Amino acid sequence: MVQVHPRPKNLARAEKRRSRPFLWRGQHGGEEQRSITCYAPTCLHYHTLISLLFVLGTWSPNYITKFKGGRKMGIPQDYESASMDDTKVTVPFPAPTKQAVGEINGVKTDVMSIFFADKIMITVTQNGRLAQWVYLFRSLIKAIIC
Amino acid sequence: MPLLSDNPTQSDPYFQTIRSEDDALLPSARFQPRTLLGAGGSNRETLGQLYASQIATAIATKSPEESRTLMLGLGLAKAEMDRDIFLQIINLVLKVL
Repeated sequence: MVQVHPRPKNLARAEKRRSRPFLWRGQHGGEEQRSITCYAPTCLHYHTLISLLFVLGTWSPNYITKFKGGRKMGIPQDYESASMDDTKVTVPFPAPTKQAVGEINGVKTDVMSIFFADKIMITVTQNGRLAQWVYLFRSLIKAIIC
Repeated sequence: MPLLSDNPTQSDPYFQTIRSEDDALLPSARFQPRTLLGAGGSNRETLGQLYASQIATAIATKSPEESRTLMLGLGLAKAEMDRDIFLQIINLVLKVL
């Protein structure tokens, strides 16, 4: 960023300006000589330069081929390799959930079921209470099949 | 002759007493539900285990390959051993299975 300014007539003020964060060049010329003021690069300039480099970098052909296919940065989207691995189990998320409402003996009853990967949770609620939990083990459910 | 268990009437399907289609809606005696929390008396505990057995039977009838554990949360206002109330609640549960 180069700007052209007339040479300051008051040298004392010019000497004060030297303490400011920019450079004076050509101050010792003649009275009619116009000096060229060159500002020292500030943080803003570095920021602009880095932004420019970043924009140029994103438009490079290498970057375009790397992120081809509409993929977004920062989000791992390589699901193909995860599904190919047999040791991993894909669990649907969120768990399948169903709800039903009915009136039993004049009381509103909410029934909800959540099918987790290892459990089936069913809740039967009247008046918003949920006080009793009953557990039925997996092997005992399977016993009826065998 | 296959011997699947010490007590053949308990787990051997060849000696299953309740095999007819009419009685298939009854909860199986093999299920042993356990109360985790909040039994609230023997009456309530029995009712909760009966519900759990009935729901587990319904699940096993619908999907025989089911191997997941069943967790049943109950919050009944009154622990009534009434046939109509029992069937209505089971009907509601069958809607969400």
